[in-house]
Amino acid sequence: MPARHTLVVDDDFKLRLSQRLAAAALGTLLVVLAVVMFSTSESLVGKLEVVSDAGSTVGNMVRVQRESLVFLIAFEQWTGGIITRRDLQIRRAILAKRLSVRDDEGVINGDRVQTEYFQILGVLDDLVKAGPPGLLPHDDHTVIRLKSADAVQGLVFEARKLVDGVTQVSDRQTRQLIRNENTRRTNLYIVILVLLTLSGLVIVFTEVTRRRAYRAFSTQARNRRQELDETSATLQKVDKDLQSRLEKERIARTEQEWITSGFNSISLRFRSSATSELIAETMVEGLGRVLQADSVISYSFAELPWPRILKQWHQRPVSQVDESLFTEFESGLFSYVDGLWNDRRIVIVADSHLIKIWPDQIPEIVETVRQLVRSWLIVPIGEGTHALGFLFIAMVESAREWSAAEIELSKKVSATAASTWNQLRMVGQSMQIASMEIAERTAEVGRLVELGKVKSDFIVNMNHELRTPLTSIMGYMEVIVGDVDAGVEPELASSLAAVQRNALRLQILIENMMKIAVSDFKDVPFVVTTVDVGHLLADVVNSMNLATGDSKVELTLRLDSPAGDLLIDGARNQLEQVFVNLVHNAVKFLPADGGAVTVVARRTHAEGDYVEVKVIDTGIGIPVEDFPNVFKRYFRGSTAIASVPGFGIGLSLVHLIVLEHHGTITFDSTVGKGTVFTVTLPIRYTATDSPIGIR
Amino acid sequence: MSDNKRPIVVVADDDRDIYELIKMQLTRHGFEVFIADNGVTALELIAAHQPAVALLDIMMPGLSGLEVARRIRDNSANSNVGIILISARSSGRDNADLDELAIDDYITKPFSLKELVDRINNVITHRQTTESSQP
Repeated sequence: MPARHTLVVDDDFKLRLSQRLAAAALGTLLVVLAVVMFSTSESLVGKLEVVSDAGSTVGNMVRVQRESLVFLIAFEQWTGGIITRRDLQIRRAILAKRLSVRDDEGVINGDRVQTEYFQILGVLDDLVKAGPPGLLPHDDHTVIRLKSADAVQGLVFEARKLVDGVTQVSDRQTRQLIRNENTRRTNLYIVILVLLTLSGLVIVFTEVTRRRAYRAFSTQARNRRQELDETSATLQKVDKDLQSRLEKERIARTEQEWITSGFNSISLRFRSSATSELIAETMVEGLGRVLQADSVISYSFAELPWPRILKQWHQRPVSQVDESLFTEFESGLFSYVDGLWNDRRIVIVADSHLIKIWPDQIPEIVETVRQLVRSWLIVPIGEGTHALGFLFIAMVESAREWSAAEIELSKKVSATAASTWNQLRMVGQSMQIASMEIAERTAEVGRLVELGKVKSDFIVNMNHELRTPLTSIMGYMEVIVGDVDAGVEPELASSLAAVQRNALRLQILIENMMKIAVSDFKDVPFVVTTVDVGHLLADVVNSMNLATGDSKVELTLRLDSPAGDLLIDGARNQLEQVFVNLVHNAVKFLPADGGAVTVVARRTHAEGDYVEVKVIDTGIGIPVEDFPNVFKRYFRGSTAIASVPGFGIGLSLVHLIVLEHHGTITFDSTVGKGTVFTVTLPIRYTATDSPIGIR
Repeated sequence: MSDNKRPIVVVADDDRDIYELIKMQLTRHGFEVFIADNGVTALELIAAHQPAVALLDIMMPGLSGLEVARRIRDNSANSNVGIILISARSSGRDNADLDELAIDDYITKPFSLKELVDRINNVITHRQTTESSQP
């Protein structure tokens, strides 16, 4: 079986086809042989039987012999006068018959008989023939006996020889047969033996090959297993290596993550710390918690104008460190820390108990520290070339192997703190300046506001004062005018009308002034109702007409929409103010020879529901360069010369009120031709529309 | 207050011209007018004459018109007196006290005398109606 370097398969253990065939053949052969052997034994017996069979040569000879002997006996009996010659001759006939029989081989028995036999037989035959028929007389007995004695003996002898010869032959045959049989048997035995041997060999061979195959297999298996073991050992080793590497990486990453997350959490709070003090506080607490240290102290050196900052955090109730501890050694401390900073060095003490010799130059403070804590880190905090302060991180009783990650974190945090401190210092400077400026400005604004208030209060007070005399004037005028009959005294009536007119102007001025003054301080209430603009305009125009009384001024109102369409939400008194002012202005700015003022009101639907009121005059107009200033307070316009009275408050107030009503006011003007003011007011504005407020 | 007599009005204002003016006008319109130039006198007059209406200027030295109004209301004997306040403020009533004090009306300077007369009549009419509707 060829050794196969593949995984062993069942086939190796099965007998191959050839083997099977061989085995089958052998088996069959064995069976056949057994049968043959068995049958041979039988056939031998059969053969032997045949040998002695009547048909066989030996059988025949034996019969011949028997017949011969029987003849002889019969002869003796004849000679004895027992039987007749006829009986003898019968016997002789049987013998002769016998002798003429062919045996199984086809040979006549007589031919096998020796010549002597026939000679003797002939003698006897002669004797018989010479004898009388029937019984031999007694006298002849002895003569015949004597004559035949030799022949009889000789025939016996010959007869014996017959069989002998034949027996010999048959013996020979038998012996031959037996010998043959023996030979055959031996052959068979040999064959069987050979076959058995062969089978044995085959079996052995098969077994051997199977064993071999099995051994090969088991060797293979063993090898395979060995390989597998080796491989698995290798894999395990690789796996272990990998694990340890992963572990290292994980530790490193965790450390990195830890550093990063620790740093992030602390620096995040830095960002929301607005002062150096807060930064220091954040730093000590943040580091204390993240590092799980017993104490963290942050100290910044005094550097004018910033004071020293001492911040500390302690995990256990350790007594607070007093500032005096540091201030006592400040100059020495500063040069020490500055040295650390410039060397970019951190002091790392894992266990102070183990250190015998202290290399650094400030023994007093070292002794003090040694008594208080067991292990520590000192991280200098600096910017550029000089140190700003330091961080002191300590474990009180336990020794601690500060890990690279922890040191890294402390460095990062202190660096960030340093830069933030610096930034704050720079910002602080500019902020100080800025805040001083702001303070000044605020004071100034305060003064201005005060001033404004004072002015406003003054105006309001004046206003109130002014109203009372005005009431008197108007009141008495009312009485007087009522008493004067214009038909009777037209001049007086006209003069009185002039006085009334001016009283009305005064009233308008007072109202305006009041509004402006009050509006600065948001005292104006805003009571909203439904206002009939048409009605309102009619009132305004009417009173204006009364006021002017001047035929040179043509003041008309035109309603282009039905009165019911001109209802809006608003404050009536304020709206009245608007239109009074506008009309008043229009009239005021008419040229000396008069002109026309037309008020037109209509409902529009463009982009919503509005009431639009136009005040159109043929007045002196507003120059283009004045356009931007028209609604500004106290603006009087370049065309408004001394002849045109007014404080310039009117239009700014109008603008204000229109805005409060969520409306718009626009104008267009041509110098020398006239002006058109257009006011649009929304029909409705919802309650949530807060008044725009005073501008 | 009897229907036969002229309705009585007490006017309180520190300005002489004003109260003379008002007195003249109201008298012409059939009212009987009593004048006070300060709050204390006003209260005395009100107590004495039980006017239909008290016309009070808010801005007066000493007791202000508001204070007078408060005292009028505090005194249950004066429950029939109508109160009209005169104010220099041009805009509407913005004082919560006014609502509390159940002021009948409020008029701003400068006002037309005709309007004043109308308002006084309105207050009286309104009060009479309310009175008669009470059992």
